[in-house]
Amino acid sequence: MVKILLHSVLIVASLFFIAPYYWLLTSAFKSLPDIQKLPPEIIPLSPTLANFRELINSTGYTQSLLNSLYVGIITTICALFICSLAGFAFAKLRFPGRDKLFVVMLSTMMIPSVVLLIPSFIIMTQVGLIDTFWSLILISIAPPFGIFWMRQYISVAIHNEIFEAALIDGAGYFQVYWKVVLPLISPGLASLAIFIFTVSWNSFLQPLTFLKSPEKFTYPVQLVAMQSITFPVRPTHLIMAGATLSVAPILVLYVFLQRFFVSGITAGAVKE
Amino acid sequence: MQRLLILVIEFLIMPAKTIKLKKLNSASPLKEQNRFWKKVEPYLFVSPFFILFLIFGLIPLMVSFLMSLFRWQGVNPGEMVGIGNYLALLRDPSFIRALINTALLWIAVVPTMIGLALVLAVIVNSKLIQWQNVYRGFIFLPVLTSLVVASLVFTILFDQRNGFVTSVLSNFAIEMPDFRTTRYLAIPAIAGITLWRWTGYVMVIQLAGLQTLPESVLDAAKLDGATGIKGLVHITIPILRPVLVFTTVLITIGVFNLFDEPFVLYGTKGGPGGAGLVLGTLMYRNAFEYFKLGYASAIAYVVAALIFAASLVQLRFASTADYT
Repeated sequence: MVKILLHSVLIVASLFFIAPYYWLLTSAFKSLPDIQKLPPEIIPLSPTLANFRELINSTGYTQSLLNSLYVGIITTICALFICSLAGFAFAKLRFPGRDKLFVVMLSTMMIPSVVLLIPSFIIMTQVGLIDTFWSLILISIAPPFGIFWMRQYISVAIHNEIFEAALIDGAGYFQVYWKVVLPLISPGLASLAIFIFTVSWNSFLQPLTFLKSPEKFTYPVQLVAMQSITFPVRPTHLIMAGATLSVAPILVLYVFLQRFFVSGITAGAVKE
Repeated sequence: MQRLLILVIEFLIMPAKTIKLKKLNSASPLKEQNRFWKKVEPYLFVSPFFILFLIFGLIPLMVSFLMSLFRWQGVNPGEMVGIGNYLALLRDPSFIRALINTALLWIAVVPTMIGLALVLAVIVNSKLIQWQNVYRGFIFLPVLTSLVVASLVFTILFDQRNGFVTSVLSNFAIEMPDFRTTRYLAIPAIAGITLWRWTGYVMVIQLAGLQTLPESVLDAAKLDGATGIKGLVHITIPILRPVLVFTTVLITIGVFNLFDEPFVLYGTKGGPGGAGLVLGTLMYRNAFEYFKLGYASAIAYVVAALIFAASLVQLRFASTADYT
């Protein structure tokens, strides 16, 4: 009895969270009149790829997806390297001032991004990076949270014996990092990669502020631009197709790597 | 990532010993040059963060604070006005409106999201439920969408002319007012999207907290007759309190930083009578539409101060926990 009740609560809740998603994905395969038809078709009766064709042929949307992908991938690779290297140093190396530097690094997490938006806009303009992808990449490749996370991960995952054995064999610190540490922390790196890529992929405020030329827009900026078109009609079908394309890569990652998504969020949130 | 603010504060107030690591045995004798290199290397490893932070963090921070003391339009050298910008904020009806709206959003979002997420987390964690991962996966799904996509989907669903929900409701002769032009719907609309997008996120954190609860405690509670809702109120919630405070701080920071949803729904003007104006969109409008960079910086600092104050209050609340 209780069991049925609990299940039904969960089913209703799941529907609430999935329904808009389902509507988004199915609308992408419906023509504009079909999207607005009443009663609505729960399952598209005449699914079509025309929206995607139109989207790809007649708008800059493909370019904007590629832009987002480019920024996301470069950001992720750079961030993984910077975070794991710094995390390694903070976790395993001894050097004067290490703990002080670590605390300074941590405290920078408290700075809200709103405060940084305007001045970093000005600095990007000064150094000529405004309207380039590098403006987006540079501000997000050294997230203090990532370093903190990698430090925690490495101090647990790498035993001091392994580390010391490698040092006694005459390896330098960087060699140890590259040959011993990196291979052992790949699950942690995977979680961090997903976290950083998703944040970069979905970010809106910075691209909106930093990018000026339409051919450099990332997809969220492009979608908002498309929504402001109202003549002759608002291209709802194209927005749905575009949104679907933008969600698809993350969705695929999520289906296969669910645990990495979740471990990214709960890292540090719960003390164990 | 201000959502980690609390983490940082907790970390800072942690006893220093937990930060310190075990001493490593110094390595076997090395060549002089090698030794020098070993001293420098660690600093090189951590330097990218500090260099980038200097350029894109510390310097901007100082610049923006200075800017908040100037009336500066981006072109002219500007005029020093001291705390004039901050005083002007208090007389700016848009600012007051944005502040009130943000407060209303906070009231609308925090209890609902914490409550909903907690209920879902407890049920998903219950032993009576199979396919935990499936449910968790579904509830978490919205977190994957960008806020822009979420806002667009809802805008189109509730569109006045031919939105899905509006049409369905009109079939039942229920007339759905247009949320884009109806004042009192602005806050619920933004809150609704936020709830849809973030509840799964909060639930996952609370679920992780629940799963660290020692089973023996719950079993003991059961023996004492604290089962079901009684057990939830008297055992689970008190033990989960740190996690609840943590998620409350996260949501609070998120609400003060809201930008994407109100921007997509109501633009920088804030829709009907400014009912959808929040601090984020107000700052954006002043900075990048009016080019009042000094004034906008002042808004940013007020937001930062509010976030900081709110987090401190909530942490204080957490630290006075009584487990007895």
